[in-house]
Amino acid sequence: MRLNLNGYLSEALKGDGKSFEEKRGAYLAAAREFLEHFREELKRGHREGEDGIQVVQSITAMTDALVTRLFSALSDDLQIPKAGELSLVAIGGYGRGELNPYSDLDLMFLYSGKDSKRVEEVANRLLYFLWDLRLDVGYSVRTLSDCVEMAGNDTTVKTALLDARLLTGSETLFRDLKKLMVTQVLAKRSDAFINEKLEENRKRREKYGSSVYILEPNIKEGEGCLRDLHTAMWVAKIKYKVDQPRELVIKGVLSEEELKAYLASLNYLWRIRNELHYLAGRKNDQLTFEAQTSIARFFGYEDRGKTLAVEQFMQDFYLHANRVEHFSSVMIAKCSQREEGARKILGYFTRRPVGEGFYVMKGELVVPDESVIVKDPVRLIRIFECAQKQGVAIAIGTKTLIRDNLELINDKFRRSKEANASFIKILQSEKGVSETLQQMHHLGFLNRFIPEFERIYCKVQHDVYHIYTVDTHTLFAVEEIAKLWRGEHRDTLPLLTQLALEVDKRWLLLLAVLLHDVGKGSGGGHAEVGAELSRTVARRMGLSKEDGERLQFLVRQHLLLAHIAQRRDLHDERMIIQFARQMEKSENLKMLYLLTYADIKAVGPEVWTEWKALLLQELYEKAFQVLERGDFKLEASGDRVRRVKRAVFELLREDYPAQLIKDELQSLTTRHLLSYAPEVIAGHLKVLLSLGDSKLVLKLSHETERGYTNVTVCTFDIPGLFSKITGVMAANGMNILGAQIHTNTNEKVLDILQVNSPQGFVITDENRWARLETDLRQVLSGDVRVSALVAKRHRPSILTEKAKPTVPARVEIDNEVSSDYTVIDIYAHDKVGLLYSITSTLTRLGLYIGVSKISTKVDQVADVFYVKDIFGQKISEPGKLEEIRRALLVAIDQDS
Amino acid sequence: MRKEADVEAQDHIKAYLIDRGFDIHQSTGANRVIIGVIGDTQSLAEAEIEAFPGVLQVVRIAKEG
Repeated sequence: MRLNLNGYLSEALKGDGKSFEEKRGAYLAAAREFLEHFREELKRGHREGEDGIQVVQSITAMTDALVTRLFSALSDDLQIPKAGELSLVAIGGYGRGELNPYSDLDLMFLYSGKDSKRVEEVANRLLYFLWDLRLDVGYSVRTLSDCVEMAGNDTTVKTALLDARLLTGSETLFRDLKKLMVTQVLAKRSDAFINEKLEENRKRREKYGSSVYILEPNIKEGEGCLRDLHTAMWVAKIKYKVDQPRELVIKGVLSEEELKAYLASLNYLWRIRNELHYLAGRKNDQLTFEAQTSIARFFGYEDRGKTLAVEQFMQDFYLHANRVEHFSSVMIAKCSQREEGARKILGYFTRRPVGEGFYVMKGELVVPDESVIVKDPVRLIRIFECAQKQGVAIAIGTKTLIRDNLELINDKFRRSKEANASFIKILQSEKGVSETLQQMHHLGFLNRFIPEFERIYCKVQHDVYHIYTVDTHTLFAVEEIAKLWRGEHRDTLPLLTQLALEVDKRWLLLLAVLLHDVGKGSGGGHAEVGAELSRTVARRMGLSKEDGERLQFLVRQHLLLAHIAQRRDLHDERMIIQFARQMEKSENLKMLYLLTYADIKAVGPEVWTEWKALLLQELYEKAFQVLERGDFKLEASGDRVRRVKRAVFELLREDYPAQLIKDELQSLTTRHLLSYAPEVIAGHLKVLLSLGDSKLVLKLSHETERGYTNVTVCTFDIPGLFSKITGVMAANGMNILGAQIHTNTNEKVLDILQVNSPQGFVITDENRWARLETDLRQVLSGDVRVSALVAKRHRPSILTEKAKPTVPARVEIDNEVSSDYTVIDIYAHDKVGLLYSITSTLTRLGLYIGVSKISTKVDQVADVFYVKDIFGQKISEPGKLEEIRRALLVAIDQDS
Repeated sequence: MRKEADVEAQDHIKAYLIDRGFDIHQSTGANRVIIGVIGDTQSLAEAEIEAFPGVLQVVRIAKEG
């Protein structure tokens, strides 16, 4: 590559005589052309398969050529003497010579302190010029003493200067800087610097997620990514006073293999980053779903059976990140060890034997004689058990020992009584159980010990609902249970906390949590597949028949509780009894409730909502009562109805004439009377009785703690009423969580809706509620058409949506679960007015909606409707069912 | 170690070294076992170690300049 800007300047301008400013326009045009030409060429090289390091070096060389040429032209122009006065220095990533296609450039103008005005002038002109080229440039103008002072106070500056590289200008000045950095900055407090770096690392982990297995990782800052490699190198540079990674081999810090692995990692990550930048046409370091798909294709991955190309790519990516993380931890551990002197004196006294040939030293578990592992491989798992018991970390050398000896975990090991006893002890232990499992997973132990777990290792799930890979989600679920044990949610989730503490076989619950998703990714129902796999695990681990069956039960049913709670009518006692029967024992129910909680909570930060919590708890409590009562029979409802009516009557008799109360009570449905406590029904009656000529009574009660408002709508029945209500709600930007619909025999309707804002907050603004009421009145009186209101709200979003993996809409019909209703499940992507489209379609089909439940998973809606036909019957004719299904799918798709 | 030294002899010397805060790296060959001692070995007396049953020879790795 010929990197000469002069080639792009027109002949006339090459001569002297005119100042730079006079030639600026021509320079700018030339520079633009230069950049355009070489960028194109480099991109072509990259696309044709040049490796990451090559491309990065070429981009750096191109940038160097451009910047130095411009700098010389400018300093000639302003008559800056070449010797000893000013140098142009690249710092940060540019200093390391690591430019990706759209990386920022960090420049430093280092000068002697004389003539600062002229130096500023050069700096400004160069910068404006580079900015005009749309390059992202950061800059500073400093003297030597500025550098020393700032580096002393600011780690960021110090780190950036660590990578300083002279571009052009005074060499003497630059040499002085290097010397000063070593003597004044680095020599002092090198341990402190290393600690600062470690602290930075920790903060970065917090910000970008402390897991290698994040679904949309940041290629620069994410764990196991570029910054991990940088940090390792910075720390090594400080500790061993070297400039280039290769010198670390000479000093015996790194082996040739390790250096090779380091360079290969850089190469790999850079190639991805290059492609990311080229794809976006700007600086972008986030491996989004969209980018992952393109990059997988770019790297030549292909779909294989059920496994998508992108899933294979990401699996490899995570394996790689895992290796980078280990490399950088080993490096940092080497550099942050105390000086030998202190170690030898203290070491003797503090190395404490803890059995099995293990010792604890400085809060870490070490195995000084590595041959003890080969002698008895079970010690591999004992290392984890022992470290957990002692509450100490596993030393980095011991980690390497484990990684290197994984092949000792064979079928004999997996069936060994001792190993399994040790594993159960780990799971049963009060403290550090999730940390221990994470270690086991990270070091590759868990995959060897439970090969079924390897099926979900680094497994990506391409939807927006899950933000972690399946294995990470699983480990987080373990942590959620551990949090309950530690009492972290004692105040907010007292029931779950109590239940968690009541579980005797904690290990069994955790084993179920570990295995609940192992069936994922093989097609078919993953719970069912997982249950089969669990059977194998149970047999291999030598579990008792009872424990093995419970394990299988939990894995098989791990979706059931959530499904029923969120999608079935919890006032349907027959259904509750059927569910309780499926649970068989209350111990099963308890464990399933805990597993369900952990599973939902570990999906992502906002997936567990107050609303879901309420539904799950309601189902748990109802099923528990049935199980404790022992007889799976319905209480004679006639007696209960009479009892409730009497109680309601007593509550109201002082406020209303007796006959009025009796008539109104008579018009309530049995279902209504059996669904609520008498106090609540008395409240309903008050509303019903106040319905006069106004034709509409609207009552709000804000349930601030639960995060929604109960909206009671009372009016006279008209066809399609519920669809009109949902339409008005949609038009007012209100989100419906659930709805109970009560149609009385006297033509009055009492609908209760749980409503919040789409962001999940309680809507407290009175104006919004007033507007809702006005709209509702107008729609009910026929003055305004609800479809017009909804259409007005339906404007295209100004925010361009990020591409998200989509699942086609689904409609499922269940005629078994309820004895009175046909149940329709609808899964679709959320959008404003979706509920209105669905309910209006149901109305058009002549269906009456009895119960409706709406649950939104981030952007996916799962709605369920209990419907009857106009004669109050379930719909059983297959042709009609098919018509319903088709009509609903059309309604969902029509404006998406 | 001597060819005829058994596991017990190995464990004995290793325990001695580990107690004194050293790490061990063992190479087990077909004929012979070499026990590498890692740590600040200046404080170790060669004669003392050679006196252990089964020890054939103590070789100190030359100190770096």
